[in-house]
Amino acid sequence: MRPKELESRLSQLGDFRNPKLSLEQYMTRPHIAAQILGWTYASEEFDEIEDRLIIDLGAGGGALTAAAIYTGAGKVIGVELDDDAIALNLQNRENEDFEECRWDVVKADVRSFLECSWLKADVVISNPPFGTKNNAGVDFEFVRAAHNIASEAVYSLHKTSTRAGLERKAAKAGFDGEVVAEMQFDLPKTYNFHKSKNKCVSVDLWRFDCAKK
Amino acid sequence: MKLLTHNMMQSHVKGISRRFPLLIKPETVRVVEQEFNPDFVRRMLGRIEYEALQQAMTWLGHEGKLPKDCPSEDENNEDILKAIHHALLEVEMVEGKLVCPESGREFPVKNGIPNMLLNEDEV
Repeated sequence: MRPKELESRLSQLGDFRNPKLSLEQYMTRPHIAAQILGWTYASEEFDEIEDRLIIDLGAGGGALTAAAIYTGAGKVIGVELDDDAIALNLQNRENEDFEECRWDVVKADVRSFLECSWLKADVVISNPPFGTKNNAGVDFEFVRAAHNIASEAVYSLHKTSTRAGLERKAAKAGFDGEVVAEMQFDLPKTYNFHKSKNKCVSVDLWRFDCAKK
Repeated sequence: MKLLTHNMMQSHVKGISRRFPLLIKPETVRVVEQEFNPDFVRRMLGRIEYEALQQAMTWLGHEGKLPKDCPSEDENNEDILKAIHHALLEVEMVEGKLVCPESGREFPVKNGIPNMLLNEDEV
């Protein structure tokens, strides 16, 4: 599927009505989801979505789940904690483009994977909370949880402003991670504290190699 | 919850050693036909615990359709691959419970979604 087509399909998905600030809830924007999955899809070196078992960690409304299915994932399991997000996720799954059984949802807390890798998958994709509000460090908790789940690789989205800090944390944890793409993220005016109409932030797509762990 | 998902999950109750497989107590089971992707099925043969898949099919009342032994990842027999495909992706527990094999802790499955949250006093 061409990137424009992918983006257009993803823009048909439903969005949060009452997003929760504490969970940094918002739908991953179609062009970002399309870029993330489009990047791996186009990559010869990291062709890691097609026919893979994927986990979408902190799946929210399922934008990355949908993007992974559109780019050939064999099966995606969304992991999500919040009941309202799960309701939106299931509503988006009803779209006729998705054969229901390629898309499962498990209700769980991402932190439960920090000490026990109780779920397995080939690849984990995630748009975690950025951890720049009063939840510092939650972004790297998602990376650690994802690293415990994946056997091939983790793809995770982070603010470019946190790159140096993440590099330090990854090195300390012994993770083999690198920034593979930079994107512009147009965070919509979802929350009241966003003063400007659309706030543009730079984000990094990180890839953590899990094959050698 | 499809059985591929079940096969990838364990109990994460603290302080236990036997985490897998989660026992299945089904209330509602349905079968939804899915597009057959032999490459994906072959790939999954190297990932799944085959005995647990057989056990899960028995718990759901669909025993007897899977081959006795786990096929290899280069299996080409379409009937065999389709039987595995059916078990992994087409049989779904809609309502019921997953049970930790050691502690007996029950995880409810509602609307096809297993709730794997532990209470605060359990973590």
